[in-house]
Amino acid sequence: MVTAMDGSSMSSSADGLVNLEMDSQRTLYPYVTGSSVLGIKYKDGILLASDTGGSYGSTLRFKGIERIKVIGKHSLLGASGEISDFQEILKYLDELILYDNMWDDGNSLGPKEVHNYLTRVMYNRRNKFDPLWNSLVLAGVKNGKKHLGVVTMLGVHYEDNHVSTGFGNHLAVPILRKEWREDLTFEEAVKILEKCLTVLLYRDRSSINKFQIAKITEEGATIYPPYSLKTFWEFAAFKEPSKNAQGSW
Amino acid sequence: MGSRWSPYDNNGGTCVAIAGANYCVVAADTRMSTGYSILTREYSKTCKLADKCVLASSGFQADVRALQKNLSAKHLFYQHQHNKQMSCPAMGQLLSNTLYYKRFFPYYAFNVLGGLDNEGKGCVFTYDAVGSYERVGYSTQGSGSSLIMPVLDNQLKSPSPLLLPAKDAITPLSESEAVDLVKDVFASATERDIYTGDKVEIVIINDVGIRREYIDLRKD
Repeated sequence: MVTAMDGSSMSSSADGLVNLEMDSQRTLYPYVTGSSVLGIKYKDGILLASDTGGSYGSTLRFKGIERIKVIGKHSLLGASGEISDFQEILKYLDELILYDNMWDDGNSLGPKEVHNYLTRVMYNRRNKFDPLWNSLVLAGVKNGKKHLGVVTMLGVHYEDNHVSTGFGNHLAVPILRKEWREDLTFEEAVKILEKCLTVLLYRDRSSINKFQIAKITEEGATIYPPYSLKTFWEFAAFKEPSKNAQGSW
Repeated sequence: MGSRWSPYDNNGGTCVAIAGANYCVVAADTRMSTGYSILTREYSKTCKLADKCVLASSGFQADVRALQKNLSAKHLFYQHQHNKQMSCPAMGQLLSNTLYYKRFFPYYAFNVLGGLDNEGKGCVFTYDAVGSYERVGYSTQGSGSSLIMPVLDNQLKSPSPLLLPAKDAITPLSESEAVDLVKDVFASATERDIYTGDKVEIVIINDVGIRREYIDLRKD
């Protein structure tokens, strides 16, 4: 047995394969996961949307998880990926906001600062080979400036006028890129989000028909109660999917 | 079983730098991708490290940002200690040392450093991920580098490295001709490299200061 300084060990087995997983205490794969989070900037602020499901592999274990939370006075945080890691991040942010408030100097951490903090946290965990298995969406408005950004579990981060995590990158981003404009009204932004959420509902196996939309503006944050979207299953192709198919599909 | 978690990802992109007699052009595209998806079309890969020194890096974005932060912080230290800005060759050595420091868990960053040296002449340094570097007249790194390098070799007529004494590889092109060449090579790389496109950010450093130009590229 050879033990490296960072605690990982290697054992030589008959075929000479390195077995780093044997006594590793680090995160190897996620257990309870949330699916996509969507974010879109509109005229007065930013909207985030996600479903409220928590999957345990292929089982839909939890149906009422809030994956979007308010952070401080100016920000919203949405997360996809491992739910327990999200809860731990919320604890870190609680402490961050607490210390910020304790200064009592009239200053408060804006969304840009929180985004930067989260990037450092995620990157440092990745450096230790023990990632927080999340893709985070950070949205906020401070002094009239809107901020919408993403941080992934490797520490990759970016900002844009519309963002998405997980499956949303493949299914929702093309719709957002086509339909987003500067100065959308609240109703228009919600319509675009609902269109993306519907597509995700049809095509993402881990999404459920129970969504939450959250809004952040200069005035403050609102997380709306969960609701469902109308779906249509009467397409002929859905009803007899293999009618004219030869082989699979 | 299956694929192990990897701490690295490749967010793509291409960087180019060309040194002139009294200017330096540093350019990089603004696309950030992962796998076959585009994460964002407007992401800067350049970073001004000192008054006359600009770094362009492609590769794994989280490492690129950490590297840029690291160098900026070290530069601030240097300024406090020496009461002056770091010269481009000094920054070149610092970058090499910083990269080698993480030799056994590298920054997955492919760098090109450009600026003006102490005599005001353009200088370009090109690096690999673990810090080996050399001063050159022009260079390119990143996903489109294999498409662009032969074109630069053809156009910028670098003298043979076999010559003794070593001849300067600084291009005789004017600043605007060099900028046009950069626009052309990016347009070409965009055609065939899926990770290059959207926009190219061109940073021009000369004795007057630093200015930026943005040129649209194909978005497909």
